[in-house]
Amino acid sequence: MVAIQVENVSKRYGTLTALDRVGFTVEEGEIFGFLGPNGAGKSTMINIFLDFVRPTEGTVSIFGHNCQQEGHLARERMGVLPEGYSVYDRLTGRQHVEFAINSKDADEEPMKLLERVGIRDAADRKAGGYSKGMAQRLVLAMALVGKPDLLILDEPTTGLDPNGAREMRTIITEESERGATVFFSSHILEQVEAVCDRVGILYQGELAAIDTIEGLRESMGGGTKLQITVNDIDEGVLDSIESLDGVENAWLSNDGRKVEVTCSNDAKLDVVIALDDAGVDVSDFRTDEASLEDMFAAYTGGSR
Amino acid sequence: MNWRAIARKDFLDSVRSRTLWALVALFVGLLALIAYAGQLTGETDVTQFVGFTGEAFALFVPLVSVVLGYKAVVDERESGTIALALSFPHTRADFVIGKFVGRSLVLAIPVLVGMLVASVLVVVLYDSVPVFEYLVFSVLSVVLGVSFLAIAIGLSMLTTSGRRVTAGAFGAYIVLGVLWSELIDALVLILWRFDATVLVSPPEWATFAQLASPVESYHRLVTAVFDTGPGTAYTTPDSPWFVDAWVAALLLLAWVVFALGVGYLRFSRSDL
Repeated sequence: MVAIQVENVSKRYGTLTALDRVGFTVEEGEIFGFLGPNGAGKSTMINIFLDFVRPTEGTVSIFGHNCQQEGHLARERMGVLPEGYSVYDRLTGRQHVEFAINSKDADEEPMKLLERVGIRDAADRKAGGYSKGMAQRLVLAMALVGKPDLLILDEPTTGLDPNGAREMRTIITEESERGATVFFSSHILEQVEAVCDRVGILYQGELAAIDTIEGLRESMGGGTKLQITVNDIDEGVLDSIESLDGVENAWLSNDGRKVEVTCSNDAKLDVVIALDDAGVDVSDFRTDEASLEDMFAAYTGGSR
Repeated sequence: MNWRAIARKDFLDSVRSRTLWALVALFVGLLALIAYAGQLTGETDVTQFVGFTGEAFALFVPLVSVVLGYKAVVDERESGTIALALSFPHTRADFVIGKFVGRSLVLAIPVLVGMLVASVLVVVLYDSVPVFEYLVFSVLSVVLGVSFLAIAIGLSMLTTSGRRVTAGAFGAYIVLGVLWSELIDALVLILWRFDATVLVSPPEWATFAQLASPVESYHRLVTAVFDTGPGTAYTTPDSPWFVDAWVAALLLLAWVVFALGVGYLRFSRSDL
């Protein structure tokens, strides 16, 4: 059964294209990571799920309910941590959760939820005084109300310290084990890599790739990444390396002293030979399994 | 329909922020003052009290309504709290209806409690009090407030600019609530080239236009219950049929539907 079906969705603001003919599906029970740099259009897509934003063309349906025509039916089965929200300054944490419970006609114990997200002690303080991380935990608690079939989390770890981010991942995993589908967006790669079954990479409003993490690695040519320390290199050489058979991408590391190449296992030697032919002095050589971060860099233009 | 959760939260907010209590105190104080001061002239017919109260309400209730309503939607959009509220299974219509109902209660309770408390004074200080008419007058005063509340919330849905909504809402109060009759008179005068005699028996359309402001409709309806107040201007023998009380009631209702409808059309179609 399909949880989220996105068909050919575009959103244009005047001449600016925020989303360009994006289509994908998320199956029930999946943990789906929606990855992309800031400004790629991730939040625009999520706002279309929530009917905060109307697509210029295309349709989105969640559990078979069109998000624009019967969005409230879709939202009945969703728990949401949106982007760009603010909490009600004058309400306490507990009152927020009570509002969520009323809104969803749920029957739950607010304190239990607040305990689960780790802000039980702040339950009766006004949320206006919460830190960003606490607000994020509070809204996660609101999202968990009513045991939703689908959790939509937009940059859930914003404002959380590493410990908080880990707790967030634990909750995502728990919810998934309960049977919920989880869709979350992030520009932080490790988090997506750590919990997601499948990943979609959005770049400049276009869906650059969508696959399992293993699948993405494979499509990266066996998932090998070379790190070659060089003394001096002309950028033009990178193009000739990329033109080799089995090489996906080649780029210069930030400090300009390493060439990083994603390629198939067989192509490793060819790369080194090509560098040598070009007169580049190779002083060190390392291979790694390609991380999602490398794929991300490859799919989103290489600059990191 | 899940507007109840929104209405409930909106109403509780006004309890928590003590807005409701402040308004109750304000209305009780105002009405007690009117009840006491009204009979100092020696006139102790209850129409005396109703006449004064009607005039005071005509100025005061719309102002309270505008203050209660103008931020209802735009504030949540400007601050971003609307992203929380609408991520729940509320439609935008639920959201608006909830706000409207919640704030209508915040308006109705102070008016009705004020009238209830004043009724004790009125029974003591004035001649016989017709209970049913007194009750109808109280409800009409709430309806006046509700119409301005609808106008304010309607405006609140139109744009994301808080300053424009503020200007629009208080502008609407000034134009519809305070200056309406004068504006229509001025218009008639201009059309009749400043021949002031026209104001003695104005054209029928001008009489109707006068009635169209919620405040005038309220005055007209009050006159149907107690023969007093500015609304008596519509009950002269040569008044046209269309300034009857039921027309005034329809006009008040039309304001609610029109203001909320126009605002909602805009709000429901826009990106948040």
